[in-house]
Amino acid sequence: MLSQLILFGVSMGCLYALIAIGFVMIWNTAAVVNFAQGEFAMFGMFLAYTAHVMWGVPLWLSLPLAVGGTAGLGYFTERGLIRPILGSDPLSVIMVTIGLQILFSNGARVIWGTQPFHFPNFLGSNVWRIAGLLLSYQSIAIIIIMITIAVLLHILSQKTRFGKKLRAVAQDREIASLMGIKVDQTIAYGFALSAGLAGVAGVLMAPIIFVSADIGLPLLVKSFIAAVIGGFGSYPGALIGGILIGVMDNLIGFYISTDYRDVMTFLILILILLARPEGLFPHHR
Amino acid sequence: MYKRITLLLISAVLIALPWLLPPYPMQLMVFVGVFAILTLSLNLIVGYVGMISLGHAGFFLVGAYTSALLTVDFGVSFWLTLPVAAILTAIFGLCVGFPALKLSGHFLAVITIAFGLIMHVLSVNLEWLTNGISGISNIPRPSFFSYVLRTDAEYYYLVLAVLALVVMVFYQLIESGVGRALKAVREDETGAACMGINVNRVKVVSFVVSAAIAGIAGVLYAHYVRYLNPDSFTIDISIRVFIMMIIGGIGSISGSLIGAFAVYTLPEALRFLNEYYYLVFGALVVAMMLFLPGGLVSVSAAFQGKTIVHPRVLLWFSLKGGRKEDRHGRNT
Repeated sequence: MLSQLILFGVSMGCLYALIAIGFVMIWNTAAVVNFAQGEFAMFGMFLAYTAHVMWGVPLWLSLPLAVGGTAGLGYFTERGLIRPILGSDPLSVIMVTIGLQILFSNGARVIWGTQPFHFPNFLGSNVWRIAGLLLSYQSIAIIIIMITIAVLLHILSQKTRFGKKLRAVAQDREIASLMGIKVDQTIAYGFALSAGLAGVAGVLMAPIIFVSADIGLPLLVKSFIAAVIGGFGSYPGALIGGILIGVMDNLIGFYISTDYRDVMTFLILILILLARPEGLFPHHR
Repeated sequence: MYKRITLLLISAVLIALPWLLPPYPMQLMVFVGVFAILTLSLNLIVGYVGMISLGHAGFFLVGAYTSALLTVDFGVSFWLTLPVAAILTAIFGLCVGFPALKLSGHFLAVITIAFGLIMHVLSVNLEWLTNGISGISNIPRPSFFSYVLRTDAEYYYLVLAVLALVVMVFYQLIESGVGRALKAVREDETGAACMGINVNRVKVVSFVVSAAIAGIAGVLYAHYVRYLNPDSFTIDISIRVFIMMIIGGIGSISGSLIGAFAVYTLPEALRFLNEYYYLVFGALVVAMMLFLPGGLVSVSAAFQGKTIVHPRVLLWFSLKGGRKEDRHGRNT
């Protein structure tokens, strides 16, 4: 039982981590704390639902469409609303993203209504029995996708030109622009990439939880906490922070009490932050 | 002189308000007062000390529930529960404020979010104490000796009196050496420490004071609505208060008052929008921050001919052409 709980926790944690990695990416490149990050995941979920369930688009096409649509939303959000205020007072930037969070979640409510939807389980509900362990396809699929994405992101950031631009902008925007990097454009693509990551998380999450318009804020809180536990700025930190939250949620929910699950999880997180005030993997800019 | 006349006029209008307004707007004004107190308490730590708190609903909850439970279960007088609730919230503030010494920025924001969420979950689940989601009802209105403050107008004066007191304390604090110490900590902690300011003490004390004021707002809220349930204290409230503070104008007393008024009465003005209200509200917040980053109070600066909109924003939306600027708003 314990190992299954941990497995499911890890798979949920991977999804939080995907959102958190996007969150950290936006923070690193644009110095924006994006409160609308959870809404990107929610938007991805709804796009997949609309394409697959409402319009009957086949699954292999509707999922990439949803992720691409979410990335597009991220891109245009940056171009239209975030770019003009980049570099002004951090609190007004936060306020804009809070406004966007309200705008997106209520926009979804207006478009898709307040009813939660059920998304068909495309990851398979079967389980593998290995040495007395029950491993669900779903959790394993999510973990494999997460590992693939992590490897791809690593290659992207270390080997490709775009990744190097992203890192240069994150290190020093002014010098990056002196080196001939189009800073604004790089930030916009960074936004698109991180919104796309949140979209992937949303799509993978859709069969596990109900698709509803007010899922964004809880997801944001979880992934924000994951990012902070990981050191706010470190990608491996965000990954481990997310997994930590997923596993703790599940273990505490099963062994102690579902009612007090959040209380215990948050208390442990507070204790972690008290012991390591700069997160598990301090990131110095 | 000019300032004093404006102040007198505003107080005269505020005092005469119960005669000017019909009953329903009067109720709204009571809530505006309560939320103005809450916004001021948040402004103290965010605007003046520079610590971010996204968990003020937690302190609001502690104040409201303490007073409600003491009056309903033990029949304690409102005038006794008010200070008790303030002190208890201050103790909670101390517990959250101590970690604040070690943490900064986002790390503190997460701790306060977690605090707000924990308080909300506890209020749902500690049924023996808080009665869970069914909430506490029949909370008595406060009374002077045997005279009960039953009408909205009477309660409005109570809230107004407390608000005036909080504003006065605030004003004295900000204008005194303490206020300058707070601002010094906000601008530069190391510099402030070098000038002999005890940074840790400033942070903890301001956090505790802020929590206590939020608790007082909670008490006033509880005895006005007379029914509490955990739904009134979610993270949405923390965010809403944050919006009030920034929309009004951060680090400004009048800003908090204006912000609370604007954000609380806006739903009434936009009632014709029905289910589109929150959509429009979100768009308004975004637009406000793009075009008026200093909040509503910065409008008065605009009348004096100062630029209040970031030049980059104007350029972006082509409201003012002909100048090319780099990303820091400098001319090139």
